[in-house]
Amino acid sequence: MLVAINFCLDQERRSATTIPWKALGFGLLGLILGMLLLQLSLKYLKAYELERQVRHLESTLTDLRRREAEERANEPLLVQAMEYAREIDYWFGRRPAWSATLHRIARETPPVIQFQQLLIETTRDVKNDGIEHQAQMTFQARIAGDRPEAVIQRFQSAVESLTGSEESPIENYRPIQGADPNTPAHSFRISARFPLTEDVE
Amino acid sequence: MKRPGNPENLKKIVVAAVLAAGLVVFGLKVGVMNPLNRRLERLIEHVEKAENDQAALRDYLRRAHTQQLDRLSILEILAQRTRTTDFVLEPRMGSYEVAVRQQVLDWAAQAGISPDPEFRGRPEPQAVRWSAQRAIAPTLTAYSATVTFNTDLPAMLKFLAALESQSPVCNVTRLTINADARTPRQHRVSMELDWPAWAHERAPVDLTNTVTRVMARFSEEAP
Repeated sequence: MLVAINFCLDQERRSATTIPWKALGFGLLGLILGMLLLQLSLKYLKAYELERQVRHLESTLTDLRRREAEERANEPLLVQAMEYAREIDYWFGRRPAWSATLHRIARETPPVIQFQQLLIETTRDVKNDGIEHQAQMTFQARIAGDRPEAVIQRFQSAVESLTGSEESPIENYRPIQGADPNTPAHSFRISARFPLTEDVE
Repeated sequence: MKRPGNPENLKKIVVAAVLAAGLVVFGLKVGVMNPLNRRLERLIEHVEKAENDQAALRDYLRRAHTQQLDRLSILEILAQRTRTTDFVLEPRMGSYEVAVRQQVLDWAAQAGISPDPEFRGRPEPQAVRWSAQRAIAPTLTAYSATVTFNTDLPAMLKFLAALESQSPVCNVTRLTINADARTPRQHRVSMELDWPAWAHERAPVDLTNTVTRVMARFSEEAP
């Protein structure tokens, strides 16, 4: 039978651990406080950094606001100038050189075609975003000879090429009553509508 | 290390230590951490707002700059064309018709058109119809006249060439050439012409001042 006798009183008993209780407590407290202080320091650093950023942003904003105010102050002047520009464009813009165009048309017209009437109309439509300059050229003519269709079509192509018109329909193509039966004649009309895109210098 | 003799004492010490530590942590949190967090939140909000404001302002300035660059060429043309205001029709002896008739007769004489063209001018210039969204009152009005004459094609082309080269702003708004079966080489020509005229007395001064100011402004900022 094994008998273990403990002769130590309670107050004389020592802890089994080698770490002193005091050190453990202080260490733990130090760790917690250290972490708190670290967190605080990081937050202070962040606050410092943010304040620096705010100061920088504020200074940039002040400059940008000054430039914005200048721009806004300029706006009425700019709007006014653009209105003048539109008016000047109304008068100067895209004025076609009719003398040169008509000269070229006369040169391209085959001798079998005789004009009865040539009408040119220009329009300047005032739109919100500018002036739309357009023109319409209408030829009322007669043509003598057999198989005139090919001649008219060549003339139509010449008109389109000279005016830049995308479409110039041939209208009212019909034989002329009472014409010489040996040389048949037809009347026709070509209308070309086109935007005016070139200035006259 | 001496262990506290009484376990009750040990418990009290532990409780006290925990309470003390809790109090310290609570004090730090309430007294330091929370105000610091609020300050950080305010600063972050401030930075975000400032960054948003900055982005909006930069965007506005970029748009304004692009718009100005787009308009620069238009304004340069405006400045070039309004260097003088001679292109605008001024009444002669109080009459626009007198001023225009002389020009038309000169062009007809240069083209060799005889007899002189028939000339019908409106008594006064008419307002140009602009859209409703105009920021300023119109500066220019349109003075129109109709010119009719009989001539051959070369003379008519010469008349047009004289008009085009000698008046930068007289516009042919309508041109009719009618053939006459009795005189195959002679045609009946009718032209409707218009010229710009000042809409009001201050118009030339306003136009010149605005163009000068805007070009001065642009030449400062031009890239």
